Amino acid sequence: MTRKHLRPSLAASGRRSFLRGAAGAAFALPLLQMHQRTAHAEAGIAEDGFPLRFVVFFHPNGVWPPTWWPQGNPTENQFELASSLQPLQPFKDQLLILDGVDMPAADAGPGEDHQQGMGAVLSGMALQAGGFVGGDGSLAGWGNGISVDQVIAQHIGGTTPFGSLEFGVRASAFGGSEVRTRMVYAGPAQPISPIDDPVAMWNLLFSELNLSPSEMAVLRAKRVSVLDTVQGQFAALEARAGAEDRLRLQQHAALVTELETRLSTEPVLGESCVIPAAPPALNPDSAGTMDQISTLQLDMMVMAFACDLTRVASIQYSNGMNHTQFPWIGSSTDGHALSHAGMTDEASWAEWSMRERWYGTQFAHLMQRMSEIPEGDGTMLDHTVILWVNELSQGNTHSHERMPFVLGGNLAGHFRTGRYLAYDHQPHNNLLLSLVHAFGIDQATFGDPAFCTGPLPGLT
Amino acid sequence: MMVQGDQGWGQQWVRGRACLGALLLAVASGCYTGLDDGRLGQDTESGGSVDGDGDGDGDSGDDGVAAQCAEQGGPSVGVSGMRLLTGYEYDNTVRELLGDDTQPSLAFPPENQTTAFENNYLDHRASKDLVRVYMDVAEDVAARAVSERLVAVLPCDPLAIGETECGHAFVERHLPRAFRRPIEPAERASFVALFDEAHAQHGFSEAVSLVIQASLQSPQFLYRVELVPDDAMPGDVLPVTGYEMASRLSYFLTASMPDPELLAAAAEGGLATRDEVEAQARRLLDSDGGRGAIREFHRQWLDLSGLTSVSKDPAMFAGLPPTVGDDWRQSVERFAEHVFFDGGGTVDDLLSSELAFLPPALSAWYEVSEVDPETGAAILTGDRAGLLTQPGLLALLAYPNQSSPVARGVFVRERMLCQHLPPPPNDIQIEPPDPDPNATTRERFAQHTEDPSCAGCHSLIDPLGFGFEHYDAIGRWRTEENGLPVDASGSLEAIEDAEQSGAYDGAVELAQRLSASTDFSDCVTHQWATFALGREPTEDDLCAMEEIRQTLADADGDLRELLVAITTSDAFRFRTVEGGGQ
Repeated sequence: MTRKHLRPSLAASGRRSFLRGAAGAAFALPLLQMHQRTAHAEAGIAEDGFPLRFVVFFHPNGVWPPTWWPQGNPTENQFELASSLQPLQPFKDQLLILDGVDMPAADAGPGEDHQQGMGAVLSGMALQAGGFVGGDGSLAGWGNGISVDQVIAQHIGGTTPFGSLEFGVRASAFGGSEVRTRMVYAGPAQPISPIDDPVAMWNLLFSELNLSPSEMAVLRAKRVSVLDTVQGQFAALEARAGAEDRLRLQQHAALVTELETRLSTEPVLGESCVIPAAPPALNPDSAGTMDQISTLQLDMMVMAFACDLTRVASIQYSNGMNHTQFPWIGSSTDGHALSHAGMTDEASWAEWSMRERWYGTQFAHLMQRMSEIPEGDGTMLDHTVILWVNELSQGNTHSHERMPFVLGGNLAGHFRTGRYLAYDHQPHNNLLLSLVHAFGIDQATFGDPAFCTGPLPGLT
Repeated sequence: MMVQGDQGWGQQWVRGRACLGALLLAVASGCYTGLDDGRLGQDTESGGSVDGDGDGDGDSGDDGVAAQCAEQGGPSVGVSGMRLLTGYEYDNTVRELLGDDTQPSLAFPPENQTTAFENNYLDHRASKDLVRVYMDVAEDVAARAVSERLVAVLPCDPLAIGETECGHAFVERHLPRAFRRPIEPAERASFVALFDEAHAQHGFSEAVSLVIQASLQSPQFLYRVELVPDDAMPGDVLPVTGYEMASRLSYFLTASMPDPELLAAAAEGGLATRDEVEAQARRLLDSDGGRGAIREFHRQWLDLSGLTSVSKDPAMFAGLPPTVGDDWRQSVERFAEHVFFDGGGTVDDLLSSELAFLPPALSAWYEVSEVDPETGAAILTGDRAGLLTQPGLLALLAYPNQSSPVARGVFVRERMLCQHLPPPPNDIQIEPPDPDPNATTRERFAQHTEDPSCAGCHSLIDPLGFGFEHYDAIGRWRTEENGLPVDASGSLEAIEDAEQSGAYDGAVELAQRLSASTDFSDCVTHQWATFALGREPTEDDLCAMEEIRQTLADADGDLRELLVAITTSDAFRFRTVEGGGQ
């Protein structure tokens, strides 16, 4: 069943039924309830007719265990959030704190720990060998497989204007696009770059939503003419290119085809879909703007879901090689250096934990915003699961054991949240497998099957 | 990119359960026996021993390579493929093509990198975001062209000769420039049809706009197309001539589309011989575009984009201008440009100047003895050694509040000597020492080289980095740290050129050793070749690389001769068809 069949009233209502205030303050025209969908038939739709969403939330350099993990003698149902996760107290019953999950797939290939962690955390695969750099292969190449968010996007994101959205907060700072700064992969050695600039993201998501239906139809027709001509150029060139070039050209042309398809899809306008005001121009690569940009990006992500522009998103805060400072909480030490503090260096860990707690506030902000969007008898948060990841478990050991995985949101009741689960060295591929299963994807293993023994037990 | 290194390792030491394992790993990875040498032509068989030719005599075996190359039949060259324009090349090209100087590539996602360079043909490839942003940017560029510069963009007056006529004339003029070669009848027909349909529906200027949009998203514009004839097999070696050579030359030496003279030469078959290529290369190097390309190479080689992200401890450096990162980046680029065009122009000159090009707001932070009002060149106090002591580079290779000997040492190894350091071993518990306010940076880092499990690699990194201890977190000269005298003695080990190996004191002496060594000039050659070819040289480029190195040596390190020699080499003038197990 196609999306069109699910939305009988769309044509009458029109895609662009938004109004924006003159000063940029936004409000929405109501109607077109998403739950009018006939549901079920489409992949990734909950029983109440609302779309399921998947979010990845990343922060770098591991965690400090005493302020991250529940302290004392936590049990599955009796545990207190440690200080870094305290900001999530209002959502404690919607969290799953996953202790004892390791990332052995990361260590199975070349590279150093930050590289390995980034490449494996969402793909469950070891890095490629560093074929590009020559030498003895001690350097790593790119990640070697598609990431879990992209697998889910392929399954549930086929009918939205964007298959997935990758938000960044200084994600490309300190290194540009290289193996240590990329975790989302369309396939082996095909990293996807997050967008760090909120203005660029706003332009991508919302700038055209102001057009009237007739303006939009004209723009769409022009794009079809242009891209058809472009496709003709690709076809002509592919015929005369060398074999490897032809492959790359075909991949490029396929992306153009997908773009054309996406451009012809329309967002479903829920009554909560409100075009946010265009963000101010902020330096996307500055310690001074990081706090503000985080909020802008998270709010746009939630609105992109509300407008059904996408159902899969990730947000990446910097990367393992960062030198970030957090002046807005009075923390000025180099981020990576701070994560390497000595075991007894209490002052450094206190400063580090302030930063972790700030990440906690951002995660809480995301959950809070989602919980404010009504969907059926519940909220957007009830139709979502957020996966919190890191490329290391602890900065000063560079370990990939006891990774700090947390799930937020129960995905329409699929996950039994509000619990602390202590595992005995489960490989994280099992967690990734559980996630694709949660979205109705039928596969026996995820990532490198050598590190996947089945879904993570006890989640559902 | 290992340039910034994994700076956190600078404050670590290794102890505990895996010491022995770490030691063995370090040996296995080559830190004791020498480093993996990314360059070719040094030694490709003995796995990167210190003595590159493996014969233990300390030379690099050049005679053997030269003799082999003399006997070689046809040209030998590594495989390559079509290259996607980098953002910088895209910006220059639309400026030349349509007068658009807005740097639209600022909206592009960053180019993927596995080498220092952004133009590797395997790494820099289309992604869903790039394809989308190509469309958005093409729409913006086209809209500006027809609304702001329509008269300049058109070759005709639509009122005088008619809109249809003029639109077709625009296709005829624009497409060959956008595609950097004459167009084919099918292309003309396709774009004329696009124009005609859009003209009927949306009017004249929109039709022109759509033609521009389609051209800017066509692979013939986005890629530097090098076709493979039907009868060619993988592994075949093909000459690069005509329009393909015109684009190779222009994008290497001006980072932009070929100028009219180059296109005319291509049309006349005038880019087929070494001499013809050499003449064009020399001409392009003297053009304005040449300066931009030189700056761009150094931005990538030295990882200067990293300066955008740099922030310094506000307590220690209150009042640094908000633009400091860009100021530092531009100052290093300008220094390189100065050396190349206005200074001595040799490899040695890169490492032997006291000049820096700092804007006034920034130069106040440094003790400056003289400023040339015309060029803005300032003479910095303290010992200075060209690139190695440029404030911007030293600020990049530092923490917010202190120097980073490890980052500086790794940088010299990786970017200046083209060596690859193996990563620290995986299976170790690291418990770094707590900071000590009463010690110098050097004293705290000494633990690296005292602990045997770290020493294997760090004995090759830290003594290099210690040589920079006279320069603080923003590259200012200092003689004391925490009230203690600075010790900037170091040693340069594990290089090919045994004569230049050994102890030194301070960055100037290090620079003298580096510039006297074949290691540095060979690495500069390797970096320029990698940038020029959009790939790392392979074993198949061995003879070409040897010839380029020899030319550079014969020209006493003249960088201009290096670039010309690259363009006339087999590696640049030929290509090997991809595939077939190459």
